[in-house]
Amino acid sequence: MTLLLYAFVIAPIFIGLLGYIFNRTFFKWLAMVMQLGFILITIALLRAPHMELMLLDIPPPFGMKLKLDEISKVFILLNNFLFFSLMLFSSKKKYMDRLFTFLFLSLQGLINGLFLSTDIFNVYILIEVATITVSILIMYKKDKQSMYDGMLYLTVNMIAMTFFLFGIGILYKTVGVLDFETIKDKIMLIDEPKYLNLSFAFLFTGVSLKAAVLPLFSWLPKAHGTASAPSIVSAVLSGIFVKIGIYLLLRIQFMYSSAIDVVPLISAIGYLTAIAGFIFAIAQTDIKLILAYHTISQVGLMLIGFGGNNINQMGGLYHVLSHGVFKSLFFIIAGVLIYRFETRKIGDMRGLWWLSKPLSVILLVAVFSITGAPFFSGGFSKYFIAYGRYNWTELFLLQLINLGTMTSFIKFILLIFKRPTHEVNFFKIRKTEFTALITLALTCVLLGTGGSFINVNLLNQDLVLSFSKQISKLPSYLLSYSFCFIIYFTLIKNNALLKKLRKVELSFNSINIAIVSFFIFTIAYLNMN
Amino acid sequence: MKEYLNGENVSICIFFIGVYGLCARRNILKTIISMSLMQAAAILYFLSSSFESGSIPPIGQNLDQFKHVADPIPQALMITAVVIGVSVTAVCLTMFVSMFHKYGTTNWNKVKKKRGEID
Repeated sequence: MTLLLYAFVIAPIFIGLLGYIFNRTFFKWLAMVMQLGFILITIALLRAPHMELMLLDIPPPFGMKLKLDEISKVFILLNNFLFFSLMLFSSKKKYMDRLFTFLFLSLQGLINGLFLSTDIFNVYILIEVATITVSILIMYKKDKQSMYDGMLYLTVNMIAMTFFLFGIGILYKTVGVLDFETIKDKIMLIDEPKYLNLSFAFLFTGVSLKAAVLPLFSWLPKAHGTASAPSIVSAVLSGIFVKIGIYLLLRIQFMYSSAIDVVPLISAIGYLTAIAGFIFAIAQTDIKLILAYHTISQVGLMLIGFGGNNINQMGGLYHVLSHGVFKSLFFIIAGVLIYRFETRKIGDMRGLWWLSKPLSVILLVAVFSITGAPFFSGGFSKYFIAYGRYNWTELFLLQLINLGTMTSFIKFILLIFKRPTHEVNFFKIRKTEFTALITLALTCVLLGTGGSFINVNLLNQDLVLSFSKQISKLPSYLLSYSFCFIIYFTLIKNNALLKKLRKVELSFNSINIAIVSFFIFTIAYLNMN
Repeated sequence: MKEYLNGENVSICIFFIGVYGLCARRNILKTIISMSLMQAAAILYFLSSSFESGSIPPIGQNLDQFKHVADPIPQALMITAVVIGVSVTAVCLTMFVSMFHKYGTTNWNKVKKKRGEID
């Protein structure tokens, strides 16, 4: 049974390779069957105890192992589910040739490996390989824009991972092991936490860049919102790849928790990131960039959850799941819209309701999910991220983030309900594409409406939000949305300041200065405490 | 003074020289060189931090009879890191070449400006 953990990593890469060598569509379908199998296995294992597989004869800390525990189960489930829906969506697309499929499936195996690995150096290697794969996927169409986007993505992420590697070196010198659990045990024995500050700062800087927090997010919109990459690449990047940073942040924080307390710092960074994310998102007019900046905002929201009490943390973890699903849905709808309307400007797209009613409904489901409507996935997780907070500042900031998210998605609602000005050749969606869209949309509703059931029975988390409570949130949601409409039409539309903000973009050198400043700030913060 | 001149301190210096290169130079090739420098610094740190003078290499059998045997883990890890570093540099250079064909410049800011004009 434990050999299954091997399969999670090896099988996608192997099938991708076979598909590349023999160039038959059969392997694409085989890959999808495998992904479906992975989803079912993970769901069956959700309530099972931990699973471990030794990779060497020597037991840890000196050997290596793969382990499926509570946190990694959620991430693995999300990863395989997203790859399944996205493969289904693009199974008949032109760009889905054998090389693309091979790279795409390898990425799935690598991400699975990342979440299963318990060895910090293995994690480093898997991230490096995955980063190279992703940058090739970003540049896949080899046009002028994507060259810059891919190059920037690759270099900035490699720099972050060098910080991470240096951090591993210093940590290894201090504790002498590389296994997450053993490191945690050894850190407990260290009397003077100051010895750990330098290694923590290095690791934290590397991982924070991966998670795209406040000063370090300028690479993300370029990579996730790149014009030329197929929309499923953007969906994978925003849906699961950026979560790797959050996953590692959790692991590292857990590892150091006995010596260094960074929960307040994570929470503060979370608020700042969420607010900056939505402000930039409101300023954008490019549909993919709006979504990319919103990923930053939602990452901030997850960090706010992880910086809170126990229930908030569970809410944050659940938000990882729900954000992965609705953001992927958004990106693939954006891909369809860009292709049909032949523009990326959201203002030029209009009248979707008259052109395709099913797609409009699916887009509305995604909008409701991200804005936190009751009965939708985002509403459920955001409720628990805010649960039990009585501090006025915190409540105000959370409300502000919520209103900001609602305001920036008004453009999507206008896209649906504004009357079309000219005829657009719409809208025959392929059956496979439509199935994938419906699967993702239904999952959004299921994660919201059946959230209590999923949390209690599958994820072993004690999060229950009753039906009546969800209904009681509806009036306040509608009221907030009407307030946002007023704000949008009075203050935000045609605002000159926002137009200037749209053009703000850090140069490569400034990004590096931001990384160094973040590193110095972390060291200063750690030394002050 | 001499006691500060060890592998670890030198590697930290090299690392930050690399960081300086990234922050202060606009040339993409110099960026790639700086990245390799940082990578090399990390490798040097790993190897020198576990160095003990007089220890023998962890190769062969019956190592129990020796008092000081070097820690094999950093060496094994660093072979992997060297391979990763080389491949990353190779990928970066390949991408740089194709980017140079499209944009005709080696300057980050000029590339960024031209990229902005396309949108």
